[in-house]
Amino acid sequence: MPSEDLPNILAVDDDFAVRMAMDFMFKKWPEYNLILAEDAKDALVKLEERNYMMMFSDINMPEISGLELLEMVKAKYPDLPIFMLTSETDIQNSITAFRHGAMDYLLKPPTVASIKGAIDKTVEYIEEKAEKERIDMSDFKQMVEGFSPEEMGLTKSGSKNTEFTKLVNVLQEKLIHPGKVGRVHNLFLLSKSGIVIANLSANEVEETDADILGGMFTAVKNFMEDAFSAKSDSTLNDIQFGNFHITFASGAYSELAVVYTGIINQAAEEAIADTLIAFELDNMKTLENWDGDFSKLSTAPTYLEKLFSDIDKDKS
Amino acid sequence: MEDFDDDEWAEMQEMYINHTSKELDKINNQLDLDSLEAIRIFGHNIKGSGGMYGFNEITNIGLQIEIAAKASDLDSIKSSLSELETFLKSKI
Repeated sequence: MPSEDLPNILAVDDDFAVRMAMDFMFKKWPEYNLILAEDAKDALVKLEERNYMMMFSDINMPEISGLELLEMVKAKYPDLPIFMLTSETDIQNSITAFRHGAMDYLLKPPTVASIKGAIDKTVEYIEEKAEKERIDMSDFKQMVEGFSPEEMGLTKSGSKNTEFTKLVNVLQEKLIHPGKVGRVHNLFLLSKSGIVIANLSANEVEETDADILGGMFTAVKNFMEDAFSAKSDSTLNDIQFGNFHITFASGAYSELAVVYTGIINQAAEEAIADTLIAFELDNMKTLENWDGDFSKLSTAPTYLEKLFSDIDKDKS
Repeated sequence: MEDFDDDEWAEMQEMYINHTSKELDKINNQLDLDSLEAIRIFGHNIKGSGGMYGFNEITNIGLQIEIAAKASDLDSIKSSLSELETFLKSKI
């Protein structure tokens, strides 16, 4: 019986002889749990049943080919490393496989060395990816938590320094959806202390990132109020970071930060301010003494959703 | 498959011969022009797997079957299948 604790590896081949050989090979590696599928349909069912570390798939299979399976699997599990098994005559298919996101291809018949090489490559890839994410996250946290308008060179016009550029680049990657030009990308509803009450993003901002960003937004907003509000003719505070802007509406208990690219019109500015007013009026009693319990402000996302649909008009 | 010990290797070869013999029976039971695709796939598969189990003879026969199926040449298919049957029986 396969163990639930071991990393699962899926191997798909319509040829029993290949599946049997794989089964024998994996007896050498008890640290992995091999699951065999006899065709693409079987593979899709088995992918639903558990998480996999990687997948091997034959290309030449009846009904749904390995390349079609690759496309389907990549659409649903984009991070899953997939190795295609192919004969020497299928080199064109191998190129197609790369274009469809395969990690590599192995010539048939698979050997102990080629299969082990693919497993090792996958393990290395997963470890590197995890390490990169860890570094990215810690850099990002440090950068954002250390955000200081003065140190970033924001206090003197035109003298923004390299730290600021680095921060902008990271924010750009995390906040801005590449397919949305000239539109709203994120809405963050914040407490005065920088806690994210709710956020809505086109770019799937991770929860941990959102919490870190909350503190930074508050620091930016406080800085802007000190530096610019006296000369601003807008009801909102707006600051440009590289190619995008963050604009803030301030209420008695909360802030609404809107991240956008392009320009925001008067109607949108009013909608942002009105949303914050409506949220605060409807939740006045809770906000007066809010203890950080999100369940008491569970309707907050609905305000953001309505605002998003009101102002996210395609300007292109 | 130099990485397997003798017992493992013998077990694998035996299972492979048994499996291929059963597949051959299925093919022999429906040997007509409507089954050319199934015959081609069978040839293609044993072409790929024969060598994997140390039977280069099976790989060669698989190639012949695949080519004959693509050419709809039933006489050549029958001849190659007969060759395969003889080989498999010699290994049981």
